[in-house]
Amino acid sequence: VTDPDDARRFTAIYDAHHAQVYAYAVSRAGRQLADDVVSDTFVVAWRKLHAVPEAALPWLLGVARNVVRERYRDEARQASLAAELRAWVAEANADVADGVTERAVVLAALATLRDDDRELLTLMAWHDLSARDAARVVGCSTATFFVRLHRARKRLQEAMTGANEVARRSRMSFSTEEFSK
Amino acid sequence: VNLQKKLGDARPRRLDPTHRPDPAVIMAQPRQTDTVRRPVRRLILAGLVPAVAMVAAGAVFLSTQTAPENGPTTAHTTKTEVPKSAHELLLVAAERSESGTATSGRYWVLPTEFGSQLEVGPPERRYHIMIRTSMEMWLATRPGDESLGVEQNLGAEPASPEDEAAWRADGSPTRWPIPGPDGTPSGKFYEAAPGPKGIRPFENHGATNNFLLGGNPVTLTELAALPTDAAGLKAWLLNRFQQLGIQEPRDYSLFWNGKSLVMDLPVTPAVRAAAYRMMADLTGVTLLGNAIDQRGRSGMAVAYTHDGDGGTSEFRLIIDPATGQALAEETRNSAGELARYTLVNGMGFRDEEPPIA
Repeated sequence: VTDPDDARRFTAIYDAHHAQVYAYAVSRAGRQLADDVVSDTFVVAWRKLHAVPEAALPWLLGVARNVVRERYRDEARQASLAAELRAWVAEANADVADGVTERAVVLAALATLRDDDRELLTLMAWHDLSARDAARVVGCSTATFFVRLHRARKRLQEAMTGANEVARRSRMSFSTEEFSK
Repeated sequence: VNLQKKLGDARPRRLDPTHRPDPAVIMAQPRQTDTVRRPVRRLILAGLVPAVAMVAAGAVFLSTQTAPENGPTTAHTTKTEVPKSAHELLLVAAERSESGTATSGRYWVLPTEFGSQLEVGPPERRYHIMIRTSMEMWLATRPGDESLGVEQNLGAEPASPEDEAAWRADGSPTRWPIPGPDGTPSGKFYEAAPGPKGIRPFENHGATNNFLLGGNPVTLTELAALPTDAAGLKAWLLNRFQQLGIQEPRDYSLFWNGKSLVMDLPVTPAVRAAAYRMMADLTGVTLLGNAIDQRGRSGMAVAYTHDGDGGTSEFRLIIDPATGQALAEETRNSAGELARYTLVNGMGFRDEEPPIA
């Protein structure tokens, strides 16, 4: 039996976090799949509303993380994500008339990293999570999280050194039209 | 620290949603206790979410008790002129649906069919199949009775001629592996051949929570008391949205709930007509003209198109203008492909004992 309090609480959670869950879904699975990931995530939240903690975001992102893993074949997700990562670089480059932007360099470098490195780096930088909450999303201790984050940052730094070139090439080979679909 | 800032500054705008889907759609999902759900079932249903979820939650279907059980309803040609706009079509549907009698009974029985497009095939050459399920829902109207569904897998086939070519290149399989949670095969399959009928109890669903309107359950008594004029009905829904904190997009929410009233819910012909009239005045609803549903029944379609990521998606409602019956709803993705559909095939109250598992 659904009571109106549940509906109100759910709507409040949805309003507060829809955009954040969407952002996470895009960063993990690409825009192509993001809508479905978001809707599945909130369906779980609706079903298990009483299990959703007061600070709902880490919980929601943890669910979204599982949805991404369980719902899609790896190839499907990788294809969608690859298109997404290219679109980021293309979008960042489109911001300036010529030359490669700092943003494009960072994004191109990010695209070369392993999935789990990229996730760790962006959880805090893009999704407004504290280290503790980010650790909760990926299911490890805060201490372990910091160790892994440190390594991921190192790899990002290394990748950025080589990414200038990648970003330049991306600019040549991807039309913005391709991503405006 | 510097790196962290650079990273923060590089956050792509594509991470921001361009629209906010109506949470009422999610709250229309079933809330059964999850422990009994089998994972494989979950995967099969993943693609069917809105439709099947509505089933279990008991959102309902189509129009009058005089609905023909089968076959095209196109035989009734009328002297009326062909509607030239969505507004006109919905008003015609309103007029036609005013005839008919509302009764009551122990179960509201809704024969429905769902279809959902899925991606299958080898990594280098993926293609789409349409999987279809039929479900006759028996939705209890009395306390103590539990709702149930008679369910049957209707099989699956390539979704389009292009998909059929890819399917042949794939060796014309008659079943497709269902991936497990880790992406490796689960040992289960989507079958091309139809399966047997089975009975599925809708656990914890009965008279108090079968029917959903405006994001919340409504009882038959509440449905019977709905306003029978378009303005009153609209006000009733808006008030309900406000109570739930649903603010936008308003017209889409109204269209969606209007759809439930004309297609899903056990309401009187007068309420159904009011719903059509309300929908006739919404912005964003366009006439698509003649349309044929997935069972080959012809009608006329209106569409609500909304901008989403990767373009627009279209929600289509197919109506038989001769009877005012809503025949089917269809969702198309940005590529224009049919992503999901639900169709109804007559419905009405019944007093008999439901099928037994």
